[in-house]
Amino acid sequence: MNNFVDIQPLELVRITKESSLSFVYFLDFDQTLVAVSEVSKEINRDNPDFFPIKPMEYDRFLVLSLGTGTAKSEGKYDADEAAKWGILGWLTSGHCTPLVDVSTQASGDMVDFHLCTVFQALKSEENYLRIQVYIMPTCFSIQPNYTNSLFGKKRMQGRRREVW
Amino acid sequence: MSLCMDQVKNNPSTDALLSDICIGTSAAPTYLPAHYFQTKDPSGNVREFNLIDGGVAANNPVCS
Repeated sequence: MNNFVDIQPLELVRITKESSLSFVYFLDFDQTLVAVSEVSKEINRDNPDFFPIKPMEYDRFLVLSLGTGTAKSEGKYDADEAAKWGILGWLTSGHCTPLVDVSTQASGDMVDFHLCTVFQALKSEENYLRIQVYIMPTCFSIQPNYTNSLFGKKRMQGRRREVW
Repeated sequence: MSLCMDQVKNNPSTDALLSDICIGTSAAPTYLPAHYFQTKDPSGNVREFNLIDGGVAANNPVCS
C-alpha cells in the first residue's frame, strides 16, 4: 500500500471514472483538473494511501489524460463576421453554434494550459501526458458518434502531445 | 506590466496597440462587436488577430 507509484495512476483513473458519471459534456474537459484536485484533497485529508506525499508534490503525480477525439480547429469564424452577429448569430451560424464552440474549446484549452504550466513550473513536465486525436472537421458542439464501427472507419488526421 | 513587456520582447508579434487590446478585450459576445487587427514584427511578418472578450474562455481572472 505504501508504494505510491503503483497506487497513484489507479486512483486517478478511479476518480476520473466517478467524475464522468456526474459530469455533463461541457465539463468533460475539466476531468483531469478535477482528478488532480481530488488527489490533492485526499492527501490533505491524510488518506493513508498517500501518506508520505505533500499536496503540491507534483513530481510524485503521474497524469495520463486521454482525449476521446476532438474536431480540428478550422478557424472558420473571423472577427468581421462575428462582429455582425446578434444573439441568434452567436447561437446558430453556418449550421453550428459559435458560442458553444468557442466556450467548449476555450475551456478545454485553458485546462491544458493551466496543467502544462503548473507541471512545468514544478519541474514535473515528464509526469503529465495529454493525448488528443483530431477526428474530422465539424462543429465542436456536435458530439461525434463514438460507436466502434464508426470510430474505426474514421481516419485519424493527427495527434498531438500537449506540451507547451 | 513587466510580464507583458517580457512577452513583447520574446514575441514581437504581440506588440499591439493598447487601443486594439482594449477594444478586443471588451468585445463580449452580443454586447460589443468582435475586433480584427494586424501586427507586424521587425522582420515584416504580419500576424492577424480576431478577438473577442477573454471572459468567454476564462471567466475568473484569478485562474488565468
